[in-house]
Amino acid sequence: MPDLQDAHPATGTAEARELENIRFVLSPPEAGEIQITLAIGPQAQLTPKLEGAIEALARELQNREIQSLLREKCTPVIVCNPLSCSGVTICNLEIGPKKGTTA
Amino acid sequence: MRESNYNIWTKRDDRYYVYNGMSGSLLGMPKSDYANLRRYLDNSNDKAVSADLLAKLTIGRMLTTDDADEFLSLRRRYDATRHAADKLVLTIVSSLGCNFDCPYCFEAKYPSILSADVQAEILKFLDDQLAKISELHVSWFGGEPLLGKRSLLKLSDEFIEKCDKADVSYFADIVTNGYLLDESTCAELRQRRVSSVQVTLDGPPEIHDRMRPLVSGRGSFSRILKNLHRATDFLDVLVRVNIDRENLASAEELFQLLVAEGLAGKLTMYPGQLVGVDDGVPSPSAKYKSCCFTRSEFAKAELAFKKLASRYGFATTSLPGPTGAPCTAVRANELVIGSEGELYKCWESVGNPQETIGHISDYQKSDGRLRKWLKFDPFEDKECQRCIAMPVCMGGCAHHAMDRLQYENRCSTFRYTYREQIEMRVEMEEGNRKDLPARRPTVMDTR
Repeated sequence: MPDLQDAHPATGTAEARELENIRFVLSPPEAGEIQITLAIGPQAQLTPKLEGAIEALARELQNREIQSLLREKCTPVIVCNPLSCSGVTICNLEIGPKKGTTA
Repeated sequence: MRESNYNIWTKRDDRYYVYNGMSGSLLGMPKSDYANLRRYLDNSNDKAVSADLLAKLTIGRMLTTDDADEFLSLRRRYDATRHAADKLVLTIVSSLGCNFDCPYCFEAKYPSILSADVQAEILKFLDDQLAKISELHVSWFGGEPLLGKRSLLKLSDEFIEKCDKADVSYFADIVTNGYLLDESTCAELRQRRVSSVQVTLDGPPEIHDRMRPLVSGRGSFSRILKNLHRATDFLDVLVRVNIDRENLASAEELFQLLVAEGLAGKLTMYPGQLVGVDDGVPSPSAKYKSCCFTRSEFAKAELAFKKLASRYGFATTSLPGPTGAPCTAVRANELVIGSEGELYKCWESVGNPQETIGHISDYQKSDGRLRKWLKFDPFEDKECQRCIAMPVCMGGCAHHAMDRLQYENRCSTFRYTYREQIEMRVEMEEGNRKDLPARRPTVMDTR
């Protein structure tokens, strides 16, 4: 990671900012990506299984990149990771934790 | 797992943000999560990191596998889009002649309207392509394309009829100086599915009229301004402001004038870089060099321009997103058709006989000049190989990259001001806007 020492000083208010959690300001493009809803709660602990699943997701995103780039229509595919297999839909990215669930 | 090579981090208040060029996504997180992530990436045995954060970073391509070859992925993107055949994009010069005499114009122009014979050849060409494509996109270009309005409208009607019959989507836009863009013309264009128009204003009246005079020498600002009022009722209007060292300072006066005219919130404003191009043809641009910004200077000027445009309530182009092959010149299924049916690969070549690649009447026999465009490979460029802007730039302007004198102008401005551009986007999305005018500017994403 880069050194953040040179980052510009804060200019706006911090009110309510701490209440916000981890969130996309700009989401990954809808078209040509892989939709996957990870059943991860905001407070979930990182278990070895979960870590493996995330790595599998990263690998799948790599592997499927070109196919999804060229895909014209939303096509369901199956993505498997060390935990399970799940349905995935190209072209319509929906991410984020399901509240109250854990991996 | 490791970080992407195309991550750019920034900070605002107590939140950290990471932008990734591979996905174009921007993720914000609290300081505590950033600190845990930092420790996790330094030592993967530290499991205090949020699993939610790791998942989002992965989906946003900010984290990837240790063995991922992102540069190879980019090359694949480039190749896939370079050879994509389902979409046909045509830039058509309906009139090479122009009613303006801009001192920086890069075209060697003379009066020439798209003839009936050339129109017929274009339609024959389209007939040959229709079965292979799902989308036709036409950009009307010049010279001044509205000097050839009759052929533009006639061809549009034919394109629409053919595409509708073949179940091919049809889209169109136009680049015009705006002088002939009166209300009835706007309505005619809209009826022909022209959805957006690019018009140029190079400053307030005194400066614009000096930089973009009519052939007669008279000014053009007031009539363009009058036309813009009507155009916004029919079309999405992008206003390009060509800037150099002399006119940048006048941009604010232009914004104020447009706000007073009630055009804030109705126009998208963006700056264009003026360059002196000498391709060996007698274009005005060959002599226009003294006031031009270097690319890095322009990048800073662009940033200042956009911030100002936003403050005055205008939409402006924002962060560039990930792309494939970046323009018509390097995409196989895209062509520029001159007013006499001559074919080019680059908009900047229009009117230059040394850059034609063939003729529409015999389009399958393009000459050897096509090869240089389709063989152009930014992935061999040493600077591109280590450039953080590569996913959004993909080598930039091939025309400039192949020109020793314009080589430095090939790059996306993202190369020079990526951090500031990201900070600006974060500020727009997250910022306290109390210090700005009441109207919140709409930011158009370039993706």
